[in-house]
Amino acid sequence: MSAAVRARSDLALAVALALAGVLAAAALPESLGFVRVLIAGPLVLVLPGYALTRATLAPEDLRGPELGAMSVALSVAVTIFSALIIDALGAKLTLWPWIAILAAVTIAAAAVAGRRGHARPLRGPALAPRVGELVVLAAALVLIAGAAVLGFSPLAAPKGTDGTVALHILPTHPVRLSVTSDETRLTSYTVAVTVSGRAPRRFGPFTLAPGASWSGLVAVGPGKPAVVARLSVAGAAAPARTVSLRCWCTSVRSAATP
Amino acid sequence: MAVGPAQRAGGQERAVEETAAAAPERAIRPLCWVILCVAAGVAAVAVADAMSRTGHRGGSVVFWIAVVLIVVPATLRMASLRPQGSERLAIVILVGLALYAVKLLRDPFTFTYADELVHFHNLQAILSTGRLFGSNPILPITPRYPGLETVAAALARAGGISPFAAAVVLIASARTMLVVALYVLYERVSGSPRVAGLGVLVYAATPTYLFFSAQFSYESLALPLAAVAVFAVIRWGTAPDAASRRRWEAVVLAIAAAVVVSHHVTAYALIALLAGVCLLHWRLHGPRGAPWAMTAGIAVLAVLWLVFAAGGTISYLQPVITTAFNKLVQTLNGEAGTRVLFANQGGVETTPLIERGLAVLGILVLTGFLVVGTRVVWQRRWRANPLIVLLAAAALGYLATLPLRLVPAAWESASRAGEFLFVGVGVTVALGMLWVLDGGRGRRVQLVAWGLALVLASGVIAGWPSSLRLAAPLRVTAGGHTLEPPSYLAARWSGSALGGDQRIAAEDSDARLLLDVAGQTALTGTAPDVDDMLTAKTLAPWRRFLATNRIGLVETDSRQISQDIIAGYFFDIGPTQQFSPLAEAKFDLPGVDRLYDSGDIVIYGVRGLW
Repeated sequence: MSAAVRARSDLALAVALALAGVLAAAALPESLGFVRVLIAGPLVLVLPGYALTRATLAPEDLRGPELGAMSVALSVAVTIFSALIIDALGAKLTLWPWIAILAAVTIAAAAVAGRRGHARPLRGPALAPRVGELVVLAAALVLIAGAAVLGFSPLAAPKGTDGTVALHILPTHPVRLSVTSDETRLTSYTVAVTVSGRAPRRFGPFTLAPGASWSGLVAVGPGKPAVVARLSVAGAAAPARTVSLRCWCTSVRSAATP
Repeated sequence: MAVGPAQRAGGQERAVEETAAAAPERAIRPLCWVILCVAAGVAAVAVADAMSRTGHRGGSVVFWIAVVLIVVPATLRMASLRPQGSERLAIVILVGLALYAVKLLRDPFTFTYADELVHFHNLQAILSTGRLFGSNPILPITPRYPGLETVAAALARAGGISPFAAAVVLIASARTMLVVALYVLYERVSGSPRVAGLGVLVYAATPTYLFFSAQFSYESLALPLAAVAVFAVIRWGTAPDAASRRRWEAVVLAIAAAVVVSHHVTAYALIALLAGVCLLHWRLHGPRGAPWAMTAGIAVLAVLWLVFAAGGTISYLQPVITTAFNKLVQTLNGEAGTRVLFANQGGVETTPLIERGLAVLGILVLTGFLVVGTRVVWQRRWRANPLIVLLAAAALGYLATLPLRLVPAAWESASRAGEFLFVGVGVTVALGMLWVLDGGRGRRVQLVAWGLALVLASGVIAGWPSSLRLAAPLRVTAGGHTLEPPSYLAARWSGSALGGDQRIAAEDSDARLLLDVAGQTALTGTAPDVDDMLTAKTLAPWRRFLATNRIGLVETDSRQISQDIIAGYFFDIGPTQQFSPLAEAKFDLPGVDRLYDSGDIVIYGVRGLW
């Protein structure tokens, strides 16, 4: 890196943040995604474009917001082009090639910018808020936090929400039957299974809480006999759901996890 | 390229801004109050959505209070002469992100817009395969423009966050980039930070701004990139020497190339704008000094991408344009009826009368400011500036597209064109507002602030069905558990029990969930003609169709709302309109497995019919 990228310049900060982003992406687990994205996110959205803008254009050419817009736009462009190159080379878009290119572009462009004398000294914030203003900002923060908590929490279902129950069957030996309750209250069910028209075998009654499941295995013997299963809600006369295997012609992929 | 700043307005404001700069530390006080009002607006939106999700009435009133809280104090401050440029910029970013929060709080758990679900599948495919240019059975053209999904995938990889979180961060960043780009663009064009700030706030009145343009879709990233590219072209025009011009050219081409890779229509709109600038410049000042080379360079990039990577673009866009044109001709000739305004996707008018009145009033106010702004452009000799003339022409072009909203097949094209044309509306209306503000004493600031609020409300009302403005129940709690709607349940079961990548035919909204939630090759719509196959009352004519398209599974959904790609993803409250029972019953045949039954939704294994 160029010696012109001095320790307390904007370019040095960009390089330091790029390296921090690489370290965060490598070392921080996904469970700390909130922290990791704050450190590594700028490597995708800001830093390559910032360094490229500084390398390409003289500092006096751009004011703050203009530099900001250019930085994000060029960072997005670099991210897209690096993906196209990686893909064209036949490699996979995994973390390392991608992040290495983004960090390399940032560092190389910062070096070029430094050599061209485009580094600028870092300055502290010009504004010093008073206590009253900080209180107003804190109140705003509380409102935003409250909105986030309320907005991102699942809430109780409205009255009259149509829940449901699902009965499903898989063409395996033995046949796997399952029931998933999507009702909003405790509900009891029975399942009757008929194989090749013989007398039905009954399961239940069993009671499922909202979101709970039941499953059972039914031995049907060799071959592909006709299997019909009917689910009834406790207390109801007619079956509510019906599934059947008549041709056993559905493929179950190996990736499936019944 | 000739780029002339505002003469009178710019001069006045510079003097005031210099006065304000003498005491910069106090500039934060009014901004703090604007931040508090905007935060209160966001909180009110969360309350309105929570009321809607839990079935309480009155959410709409709270929503409109929220819009007023977000927009009016910000506009009052923006219309004042006192704020510095940095404060104006902070306000437009604040309002831009607050209005994005309105969309995010409507869909806080997952994407529910038709295009979002399509693009989200592309993002998941990049993350799971590590490769670009995968397949998308619902909108096959989208993987050929991988810009949006690529950046989201990079964020997910580097940040270690979920694809949904990465997409949200990206769209929030794109929204920020858009408002900053428009601000610096308007400021360079008009020479006035006040016009720039007001112009960006006016742009928020684009009917698609609040919801449609905030979705995870390729245009949401491409448009901000294009705005930055246009700004860079302006800077190229004012560069002092040839070396500086070359550097700006490189910047423009790099950003424009990202646009070309991200979204077809935005790339073509950018080329059209630059071509217009070139031609106008030639007409006004002769051929020298116009961005010919850059325009040609971007056009070459677009053609190369079209030829080598995205060959299906023309066959994708052509029917949309020709159908819109044919319907327009039919409507003008009286051979076809007009479209119902303020209608939902089913063509039913759902918007309350008072909102319809506000929408019309807002358009009248917008037109008034626009006429004044156009007059200002003409009178201040800006007509020598090709870019501002084009922006004013685009603004008038927006008015010309409004009647197209009455044409059934053309309204969507008109609505989408509005996103581009409104870039011109923003600055032209802001110039009209400035004329009103500078025209004398009285409550003109308040007049402009409420006028802008009305214009923005008009855009919100026109841009999205009122019944879908607030959140609907998607994840609900019951008995300590979180439940999802039956269509999600079916999609999850198909993925976990049968495995992904099954060819499955389904109604439009169900197919999008099967694609995203279960990773199935979901087929829907009219090509192939799944819609008619599903609603037909007999299966015999469709057996060959199933075999030809190698459809192994069919998901039937007896609710008519399952065809609605905007409203079809949520819990139903009360009875819903149903298809004929024969449509589902036709699959109960000896050669068919009935694998899944949740009442309205049934999944059949139909491979035995091939």
